[in-house]
Amino acid sequence: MLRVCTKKWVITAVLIAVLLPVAVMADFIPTNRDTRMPPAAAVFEDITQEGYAFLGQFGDLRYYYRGDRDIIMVRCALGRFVWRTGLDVPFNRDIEDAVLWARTDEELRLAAVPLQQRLNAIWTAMANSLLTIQYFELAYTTTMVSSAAHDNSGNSTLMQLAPHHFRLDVQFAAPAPDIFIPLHIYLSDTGITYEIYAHEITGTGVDRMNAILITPFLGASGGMRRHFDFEANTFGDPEPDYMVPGYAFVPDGSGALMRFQENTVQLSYYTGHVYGENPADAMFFSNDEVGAVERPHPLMPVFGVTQGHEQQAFVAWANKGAEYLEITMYPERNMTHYNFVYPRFVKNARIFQVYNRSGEGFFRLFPERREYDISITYQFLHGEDAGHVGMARAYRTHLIGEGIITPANVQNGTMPLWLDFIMSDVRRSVLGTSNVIATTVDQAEYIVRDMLASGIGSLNGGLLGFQNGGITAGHPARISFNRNIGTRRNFRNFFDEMNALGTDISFAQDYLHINRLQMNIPRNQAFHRNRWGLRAWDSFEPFLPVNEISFARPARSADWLAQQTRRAVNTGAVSHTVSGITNNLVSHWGRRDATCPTETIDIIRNAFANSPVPVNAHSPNQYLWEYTHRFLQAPVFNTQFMISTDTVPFLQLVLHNTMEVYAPYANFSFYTQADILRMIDYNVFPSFVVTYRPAHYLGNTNSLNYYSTEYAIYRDIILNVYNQMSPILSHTMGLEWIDRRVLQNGVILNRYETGVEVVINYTQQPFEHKGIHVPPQSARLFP
Amino acid sequence: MGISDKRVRMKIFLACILAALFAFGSPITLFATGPNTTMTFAFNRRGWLVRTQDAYLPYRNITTLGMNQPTGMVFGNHDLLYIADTGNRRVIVFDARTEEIHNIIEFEGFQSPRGVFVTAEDWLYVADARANAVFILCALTGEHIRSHYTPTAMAFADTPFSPNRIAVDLRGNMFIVGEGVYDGVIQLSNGGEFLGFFAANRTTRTFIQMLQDIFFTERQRNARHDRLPGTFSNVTVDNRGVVYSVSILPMGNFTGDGLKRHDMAGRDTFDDMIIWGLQHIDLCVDARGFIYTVTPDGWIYVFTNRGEMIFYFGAGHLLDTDIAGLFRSVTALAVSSAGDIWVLDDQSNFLQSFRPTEYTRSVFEAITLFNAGLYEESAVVWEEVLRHNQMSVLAHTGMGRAQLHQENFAQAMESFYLGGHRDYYSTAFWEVRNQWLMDNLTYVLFIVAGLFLTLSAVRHLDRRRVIAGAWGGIKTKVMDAPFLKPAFFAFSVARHPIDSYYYIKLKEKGSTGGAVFHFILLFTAYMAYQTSRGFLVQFAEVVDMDFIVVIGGFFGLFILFIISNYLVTSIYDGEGGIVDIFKLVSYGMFPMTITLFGVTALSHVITQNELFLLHFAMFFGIAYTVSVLWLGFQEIHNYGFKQTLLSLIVTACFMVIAVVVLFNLSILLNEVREFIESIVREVYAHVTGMY
Repeated sequence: MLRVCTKKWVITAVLIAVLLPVAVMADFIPTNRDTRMPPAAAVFEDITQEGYAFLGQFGDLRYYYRGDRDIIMVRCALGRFVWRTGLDVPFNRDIEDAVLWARTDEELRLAAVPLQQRLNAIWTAMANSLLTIQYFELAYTTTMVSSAAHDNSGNSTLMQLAPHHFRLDVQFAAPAPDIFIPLHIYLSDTGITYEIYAHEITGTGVDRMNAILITPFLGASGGMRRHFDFEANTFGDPEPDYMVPGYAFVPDGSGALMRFQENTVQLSYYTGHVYGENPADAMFFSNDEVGAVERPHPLMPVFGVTQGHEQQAFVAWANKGAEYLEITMYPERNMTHYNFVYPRFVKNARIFQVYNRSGEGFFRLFPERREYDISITYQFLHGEDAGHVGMARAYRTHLIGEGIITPANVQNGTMPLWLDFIMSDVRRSVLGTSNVIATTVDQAEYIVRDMLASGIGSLNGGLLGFQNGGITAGHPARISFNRNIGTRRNFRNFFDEMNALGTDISFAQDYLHINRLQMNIPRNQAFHRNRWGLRAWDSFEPFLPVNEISFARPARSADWLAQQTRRAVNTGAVSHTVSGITNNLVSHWGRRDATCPTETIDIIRNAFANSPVPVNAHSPNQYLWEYTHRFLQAPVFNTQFMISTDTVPFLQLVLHNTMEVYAPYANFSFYTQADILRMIDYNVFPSFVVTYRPAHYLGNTNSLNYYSTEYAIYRDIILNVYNQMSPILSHTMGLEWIDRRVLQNGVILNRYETGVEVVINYTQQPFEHKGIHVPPQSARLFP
Repeated sequence: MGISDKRVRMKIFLACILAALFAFGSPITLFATGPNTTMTFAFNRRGWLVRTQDAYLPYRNITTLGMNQPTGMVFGNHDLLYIADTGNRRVIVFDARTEEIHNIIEFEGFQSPRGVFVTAEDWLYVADARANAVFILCALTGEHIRSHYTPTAMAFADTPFSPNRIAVDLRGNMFIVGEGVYDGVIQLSNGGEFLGFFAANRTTRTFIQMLQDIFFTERQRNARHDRLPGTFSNVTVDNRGVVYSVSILPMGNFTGDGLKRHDMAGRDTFDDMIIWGLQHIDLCVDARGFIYTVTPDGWIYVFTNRGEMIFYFGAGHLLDTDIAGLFRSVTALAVSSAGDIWVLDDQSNFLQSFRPTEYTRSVFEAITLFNAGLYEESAVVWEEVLRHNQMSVLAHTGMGRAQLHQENFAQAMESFYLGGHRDYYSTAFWEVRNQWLMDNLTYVLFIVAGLFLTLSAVRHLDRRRVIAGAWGGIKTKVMDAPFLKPAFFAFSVARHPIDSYYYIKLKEKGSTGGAVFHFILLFTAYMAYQTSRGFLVQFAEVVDMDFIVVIGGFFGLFILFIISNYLVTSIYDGEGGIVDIFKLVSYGMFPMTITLFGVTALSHVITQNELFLLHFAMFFGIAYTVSVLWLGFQEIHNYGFKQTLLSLIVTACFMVIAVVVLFNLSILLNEVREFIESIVREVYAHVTGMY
């Protein structure tokens, strides 16, 4: 008896010790993985048109231009907002000269405007100008010059070609390279579009151009100035300017907000390579510096700035040249005292030219510069639209208008579940490799039937490693059946059964990452700009069959996709699941068959367009959305840069109802109650990856990162997740997602058409909405 | 759960080296980004480090403290975090619960405060290297209590006193890590008297260093920095007063001094420490006894109170990009009462925290329950851990131990197999085998007795030897079959080597075909031995083997030996030709073939207690084979003892020389190939205008 009592006390003590961390989590403190309360209301200074020339009025928008500083002012005729494309500040050097030469107090009063702290002549020119270029100096270091430079290195002339069409001719000259860039400006009733045509860029220094930056300080907030002390007759200590409350939005992962704030330490800036960093254009051909955890990249070429709470904002998107676009956000105290975000179109870059197998080489620029047109549109928003939700709505409208996404593609019904099956992979054996079977086709069918019988209303999924060689060694063009997994007849019967059950299970294949077990690498791999085949580490574990991988040439990938989908259709599959090429843009610089990023996009798009069956894509880049049937592995977090303050479902807001969007697998670090709520909040459907046999069978294969997949373990978890989410998301499927608001830290309200609302309570406290109780850590539908 | 096997230890060391590689690159992941920016690794069943479920998630990023090169930090009472803000000469008291600055302690004596420690009585100890002092202040008010400067004891002599880090035990004794002190941790009494050097790190000598010691001059030897022991980087005291330390070890130092738990005399009590050669910069021990260490590039290690690594996590990227979970230069780590790990970066000047995931909480709970003796309860929690990670060695081993205590030996065996734990597997297997014997021994004895009786009865009834004659006829037929006779001749070689080799020499018995057959049989036995031994003695699995080396080595050595011996014996008047030598070796290795098959089979039914049987069988097999081969060489070459010995020694030397020459030749050919390729590429690049 005494022993039992002691045991109980010990258990109680241990559980208290272990659960203590949970108990102290009572207050919800948002991290940068959450969305915080909206920014405070901003107070805007009066801005006059003094020094500006009137360009025209389109709708409610009046446009003005200041020639000496290359600034366009956009003023809403209804007084809702005013934007200037630059800071509109004089050069410090000019101010200091004027103060020095002022003869009277009046002259001094006029001359002694505050000095900008941390803005030298180059940065001041950049802060004002419409156009800035970065270029390479002789040692391949970069510097920049702007269209409104202090010296004569940048000169510009604005010409009107039509009532709404202007052209800014920018001539860069010594000490900058000789480059002439005509910037076409199209004014409209919603905003401005800038265009630069590759064939119009001329000059002897064109090849030295690194990147083109357009209106980098539009929407900048912050600043620090030194005001003139008339008593001491000198400039005083720097004082911070009013920081307009607001944030920059960048499409990092699902979407990130970077709020404007003063920092006490220097934080690094954010750069997002739209469609991902192209390994064929990277500095090194061997990808040994891949991030520890895959970092999300912008899937769409869009960004924006919000100032104040529902006051004013702009959203910008690239129409052309998106594949070369980098979105950059500088926080306060990094280079300047301003927060600012801008588009950077890369024209040329440094690469490491290797000349022997030992890897020795030298740095050089691309053998030829990138020839592509640039087009970027800025749309100005106000009122309720002046926030990241409004930006998403505006961008969604734009994409619908372009035919890239189609609304109402998802109908009211039952929330679907995505289930990937790992069927097999290979391990090393005495003679080469041998298959490790994790799920046979019969076992997959058993799992599907069991799921449907257990109350899953709608189920779709993919078969990974469905053929001989499994995930790692299976050839992406073929379907080579292995009798231990399932014969052709087994698969045909399986697909027939699935079709009869109304379930769409498809073959899943990565068409980008290739290895020596699959094929002859040199014949199929993409080449770097330095003409060496691309390489990357897949794993460091020497016991795995594959440690080094490469990337396939775009044409090969497209060819394999065509071949395999044709074979899949013959086997009875009604859709196909694709990864690799969907969110990695890899060009190829072979001597005879070079494929630039723009051509790569065309090749992959055509492959998708010509697929005989609908394509389910893993986290596809925007250029594939037109042909994507289901969006898998949608990011629901961002990279978590220190300057990121919020995560928002911008991607999901844009895509809602245009296709089924599925979350990352809920097996791996995405399994908590908060994660289930996040899926409801972000309107994404759950997905899992399962095996029939325990996951440890895969421990010697390259699939060892799937360390928790056994269906017997996951069955109840899947049902629990589904049963929590389905009553809410089944209701909101097919409804337009109108708004998303933060009611308090940790409590989100999603509004849909017809007045349907969903409250998601991430906190440990109950929340009351419309007099109805929303328990802690739960979501509630308000029909 | 000590991993005692040397081979596994070696593999773990290699895994650690690979882990270090992650600082420069890491694999492409298979699935979309989750909430984490770091990866977590743990040992798999064979001692390799593999990825596991995320242990911690980035939680808070505190960038508003205005710090300047902060160096050390420690949690005091009420979750107050004391940060030595070295560059600003102050100590920041940060409230981890409210995330606000609670107090800033500025003391005029501070010159370069680096190490901080807070006692249960709220005394704040500050180690200041530049002030050569330890300052004691009230942790709540910042009021100065007293200071300790360079000890005056004779034993301290001229040792520099530049306190970098400090910890204080329950009696107020101070343990100080000083700059430039290799003698160990400086121990001062609560009154400031020097008590001695508490612990010292060791040095090891590699083979090359031993050669250097022989041939180098004293001056040259003194100039070698790799002879220095690891330097203590930090020290701490847990809530029971036990002292722990971490050290930065020079490359090649495998002393296991990276993390130590000290007894009263300063000795290391982690006799099973398996993390070698890593650069731990700080450590912390929480209230439950879990130990946390961190390296400057941000890898955070978590150990049990027995020093077994549970997992480690981080990104290992020293980037200029500020991302939650990534660091530029970590200097300190502390763990709050909520279990959050707080990490300080002296280059970024901000503070980050990590929150344990459900997985980690389950692991901690299971270990705590098991240590409390609650085996059944711990098994339930280990199941939960296995749900998160079915490859978790820790969970499988924990499950196994719980099952062992519950006497579920068969399941325990399976768990220990999956956990790769041989000691416990052996224990469970002994029980299972014992049970099997208890259940089946009677039947086995009956069958043996039955066979014996049947055989006796047949012999008794077969008075006319009809059956025996028929059996003998069949045997003779088989033995005399032309294609089997040379194969069976190996038995004669093993039993009567001198006669048999004489017949081989005369080409009367044995054949080249028979020799080839035995060579293949030997190869089969060798491969079975390499790949198919029982779990207790099969340290390398098939996936771990480099079959080019395993198979190529076998054939290479065999062929090289025959050729070398032929060449050598040709010079030394040996009578055997190359085919004779091949037959000699192939037939002569037959005892070894039998031994390898036998040992392989036996290894599946023995436990660690009977391992000596395997060793004995192996020794006997080798000795017998060597004897047969020796007699064979004497007979085939017509040598005496001395000549045989000499020819074999020269053969061995010739083989070594041949290997070295071949190795050099391959390097040379590779260089030539690269040289030609470089020229071709250069020409091609110039012709095509590539550069």
